[in-house]
Amino acid sequence: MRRSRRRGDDAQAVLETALVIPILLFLVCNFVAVMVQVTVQEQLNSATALAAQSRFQAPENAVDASGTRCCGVHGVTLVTSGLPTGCRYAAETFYGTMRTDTGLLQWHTVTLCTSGGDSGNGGHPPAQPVAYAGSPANADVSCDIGSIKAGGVVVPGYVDRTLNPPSGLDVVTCSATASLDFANTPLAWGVFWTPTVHAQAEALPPPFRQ
Amino acid sequence: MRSARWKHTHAHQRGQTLIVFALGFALFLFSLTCLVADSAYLYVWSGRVQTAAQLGAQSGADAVDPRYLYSATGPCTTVPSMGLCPVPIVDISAQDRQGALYAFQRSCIEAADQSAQIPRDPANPPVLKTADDPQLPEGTVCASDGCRVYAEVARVVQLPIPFPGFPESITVRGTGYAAPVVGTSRATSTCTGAAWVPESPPR
Repeated sequence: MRRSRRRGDDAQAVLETALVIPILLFLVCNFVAVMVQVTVQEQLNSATALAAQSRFQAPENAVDASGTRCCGVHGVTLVTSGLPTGCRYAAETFYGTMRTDTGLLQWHTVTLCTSGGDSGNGGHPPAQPVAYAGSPANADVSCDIGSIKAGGVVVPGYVDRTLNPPSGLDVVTCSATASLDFANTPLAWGVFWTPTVHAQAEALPPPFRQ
Repeated sequence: MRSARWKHTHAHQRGQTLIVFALGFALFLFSLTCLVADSAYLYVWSGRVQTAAQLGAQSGADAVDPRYLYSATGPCTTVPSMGLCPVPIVDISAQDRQGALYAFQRSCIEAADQSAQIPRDPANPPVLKTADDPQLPEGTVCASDGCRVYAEVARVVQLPIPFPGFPESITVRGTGYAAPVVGTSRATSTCTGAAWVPESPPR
């Protein structure tokens, strides 16, 4: 009788363990997934902010020579010939900063270099940026930048009318969006959601490089 | 043979142990929760502040007049008879300066304060500091050694679950350096450590 009670206790313990362990694993997987998402979000914020700022390290009228390529991270090569050099600088900074965690990320591909665009206000309707002619459309980051083309033709950047209203300020914006794909990681066992991270950054032109 | 009194005392002690264990375990769990939540929060903020410092330094470096870096020359303003002189950093002269800060310091502080979300008044967090606000006890210090721009950001972080008896906030610091540069041509200016340096970086 004593032996059968002990066997019953053992069976109960096994059953309890079998119930509790999957729940604990599920919780641990999701805690880790949330931490990964927060880390990637922070990294994306940094990468877009530094990318927007690095546009100003190129002269405003500099254009990439024929055959110029950039980045080459995880199999993506972007041809930037004929595009503003500042756009390539922004892309290189972005890809350089986002080197880690790239295996997890499914990027939402966008056009690398755009121009124009307006945040809009009472007197001006909002406008969407347009792509530079020849800009690669398979980039992970998109930067809206102004430039000066040959012959002094000014290509406007993004006008943010919340700054210095109502005329606004010409700023550089960079944005990127990616989904976190846990399918190829051990976390897939307990994570059933695919979070999307997005970052957009704006950089004001410095006083001597407008 | 054990007496009834011994049995009563033993049962009482077992009850006491259970209560002490329950209280101790609750305290342990609470401490663990505080530790995990606070360290994760500080980890995230230390990354943010470090990024803000890097962005501030880069922004400050970009605010240096590139004509100076490439040894451009212009008419001498101080002694016109000398002919051509190196192009000055515009706001080295007092009349070009906006307030007490140089252009590179202003850009550096604005970018870092915005990026680190440093509030002007901790009681009203949505309003962020600008370059003209006092940068203590939290804020950005920007300086240069003539070659690079140096930014140090301090941000007071309120802990989400402060442990009783320990500080409720911790100051997180980040440091960034950046060199002023413009691409495509070789920079010819040398790092003299004197031309556009208002003060030495804090050590």
